[in-house]
Amino acid sequence: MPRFIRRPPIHAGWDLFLWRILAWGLGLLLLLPIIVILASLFSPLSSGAAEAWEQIRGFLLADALKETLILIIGSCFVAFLLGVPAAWFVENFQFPGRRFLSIALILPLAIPPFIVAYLSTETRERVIPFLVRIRTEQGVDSYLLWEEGLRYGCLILLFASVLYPYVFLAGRSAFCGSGIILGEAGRMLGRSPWRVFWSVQLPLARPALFAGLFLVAMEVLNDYGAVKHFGFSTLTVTLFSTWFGLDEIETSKKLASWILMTIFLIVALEHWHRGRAKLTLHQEGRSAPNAPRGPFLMICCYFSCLLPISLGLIYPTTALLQWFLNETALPKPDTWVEIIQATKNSLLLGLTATVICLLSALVIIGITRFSKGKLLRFLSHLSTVAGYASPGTVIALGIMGVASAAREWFPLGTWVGDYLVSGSMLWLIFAIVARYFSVAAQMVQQGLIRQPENLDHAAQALGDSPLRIFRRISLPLLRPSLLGGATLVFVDVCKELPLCLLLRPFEFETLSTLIYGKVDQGTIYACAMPSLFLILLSMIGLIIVELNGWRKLSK
Amino acid sequence: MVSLEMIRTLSSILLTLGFSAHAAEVRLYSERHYDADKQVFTDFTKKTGIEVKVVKAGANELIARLRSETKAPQADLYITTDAASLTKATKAGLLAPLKSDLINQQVPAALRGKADTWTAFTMRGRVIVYASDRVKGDLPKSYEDLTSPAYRGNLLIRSSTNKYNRSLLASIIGIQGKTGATQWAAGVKKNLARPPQGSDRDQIRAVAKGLGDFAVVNTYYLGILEQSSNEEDQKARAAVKVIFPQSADRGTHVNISGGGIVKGAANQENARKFLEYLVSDEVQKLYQKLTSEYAVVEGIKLEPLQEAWGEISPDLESIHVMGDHDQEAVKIFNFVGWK
Repeated sequence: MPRFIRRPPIHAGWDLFLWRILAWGLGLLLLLPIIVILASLFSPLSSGAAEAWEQIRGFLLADALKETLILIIGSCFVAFLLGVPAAWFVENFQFPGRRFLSIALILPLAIPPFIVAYLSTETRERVIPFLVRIRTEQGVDSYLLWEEGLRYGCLILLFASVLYPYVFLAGRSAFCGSGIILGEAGRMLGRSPWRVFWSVQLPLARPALFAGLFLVAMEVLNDYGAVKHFGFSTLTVTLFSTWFGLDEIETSKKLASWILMTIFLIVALEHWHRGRAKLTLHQEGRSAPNAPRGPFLMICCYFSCLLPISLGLIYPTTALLQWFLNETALPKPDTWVEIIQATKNSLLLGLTATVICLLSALVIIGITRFSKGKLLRFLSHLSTVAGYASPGTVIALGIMGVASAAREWFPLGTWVGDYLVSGSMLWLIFAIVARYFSVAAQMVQQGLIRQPENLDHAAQALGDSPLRIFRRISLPLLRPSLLGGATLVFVDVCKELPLCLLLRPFEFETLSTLIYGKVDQGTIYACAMPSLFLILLSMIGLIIVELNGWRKLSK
Repeated sequence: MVSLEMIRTLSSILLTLGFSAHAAEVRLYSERHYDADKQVFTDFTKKTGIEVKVVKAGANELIARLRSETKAPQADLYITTDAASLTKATKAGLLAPLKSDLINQQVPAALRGKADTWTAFTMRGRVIVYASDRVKGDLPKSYEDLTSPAYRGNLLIRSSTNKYNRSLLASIIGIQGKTGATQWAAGVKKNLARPPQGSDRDQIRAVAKGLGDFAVVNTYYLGILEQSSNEEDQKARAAVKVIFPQSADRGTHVNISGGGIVKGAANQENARKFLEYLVSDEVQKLYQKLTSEYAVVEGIKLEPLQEAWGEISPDLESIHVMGDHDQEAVKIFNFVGWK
């Protein structure tokens, strides 16, 4: 016998009240580091900090902005060229090896940019004779121009080759679904595949592609290891050097707040422009496409897939394996201990962050679904974007602000002070969750969007409370999204460098900080083994999720 | 599923949050990252039975940590590879007096802290290397010569954010004042063959490949390259020769690896013993052999590898003033655009 006869509003009940408080609390907590940084936009600087700020504005900021913009725009452009054709051909045509290539096209996500930067050192050294010839034949000025141009080109290609999967995934999810149907309609009306692509599918895909390109831009902005290795000073590198070089935390916070404001402006513009974009790791419920007509299209299919794969997957892995031919790459016994410990730490950090991110995402996004409160929706929307849009160094600065305040309130001697606040582990995990929560949140959000609200209404009419609905209906249906979200968060945390460098506890090396440390000391080949472990860890996760997605598709 | 391994790792992480252990041990906060140190630690433990526990991080992180732990220090010894950091730690009141006659006897006063708060145990010079087969004309003899327009597009040096360059500029500020130092930094920046990138080892390799004719590097890198099993490294080392820059008012810039006892530490006596061990003749000889750093104790014969570099007349006075001009050096680097 149903408990309710009339249909209650979906956000009924005070039993949700506690969960809403939790959602509010979590949301605010996740935004806390960003709020701390934005607050310094308005706070006045002490004299020492003001002087340092003048220094930065006067000498460093213009160059930093220029380099950052060139790298971001260049990388987005090349990532677009690598990702979009591959996505289109994979979605629109059926050809032998499509499934395998499709999985391989995503794997470069497992390789952090800084590792490829280190791997490319020997390749770049081969360019030196060419540069020397330019110097002797055309003079120093020409040489310096060429040197800079090649460096930019190399780094942009490098970023694009491991970050294009974001664009590829976005393109894949955008070119399927209604894009395919309208595309087929266009073909039936006589348009060629190329015109269909340009006039129908590409405009439809615009929102999703912008989302993918935005992720590429944020990754480039956040990068520290690769940029530093190539000798560039982007905004992130400048932030680092202000913090540790000038020793001016206040000035760093000011710089960070300006960086944040700019990013948020871009995000707001993008949101206003696009609406909602989807980014998925797999598609469901679509008929298989046809084989390409003609050998030319067949060649295009393979070329568009193999080019990104060779740049982003084959080149780094062969370079890495070549390093192993070098004797110094094989670790001695005590270095093994170091590497195993770092692997364990990366795993632990990744798993902890993933679990917390997913749970928080479920709470915040789930509650928002059942709540009509505008403020809560806004908060949840903000928290799904803010973390990823903020560079890791900015979040680390914000967390340090929160940590020092907390350490003042709970000094050593109190229970909270001794075990929670004074150590660094808590803050590192907090920072990582603050940054990558939005990845998990977006996956959960997309998963929930796909579930029609009628399901919830039906369940509620039959007597279930919102909590039961969530637990028994939404959650099981969310499983693929949760798996996808877990993998993306895990891979991102494994690759994360600046946050770990800045906030790690003592004796806590992750694989990424270990690799960075070895390169910083000059023993570059010694990072071959940790790099291999890192890449394998991430790839296994990615492969599992992709196989899962393909299995569903072929059912 | 929570495995035993995870619990073990989790609990070891929680434990490092700060329980102090009891058995005979000495806990180091060290900036040094060399594998050779492990041998020194094992030898010390074999000799004295005192276990050596190390925590490695950058100097600024370590000082920040020490500052936050003044009421209950977690470390006994603070070891760094830059004299400026030791000066900084002394000024912040983080180090206790060494009070060791042995150290006072072994190490010259110029290589010990003025307030008896620290001692050096190795030394390294910052020298000029040049491509021996390509450079025919006049060689630069001092740091100032590097600013000559003749070397435009030919000079390789690592980033200004690296402490070795900061201390070099700090020593130049100490001798020539802010204006002279700014001129020097600007002159060097103009001559760079590429924007600073990579470590000193990358600079030597770039010289060997022909990207530039001159590089400024630390002496021990030459030893690392020569003893490396990598063929490219050995070729790079063979392609360059060393100049020890000197001028009328100064010798070759040197920096030190040194340590000091943390104020209020639990194992101060063990820390003292460890430092005394580091400046003992046998360990000084070992460091020269393993890491190609210079000994600080007089009378230790140089390794043949080191003798091949040439004779060093180190600028020992600057060691004590590097810390005073550190911030100024960073400002000058930013001003001239040496990234």
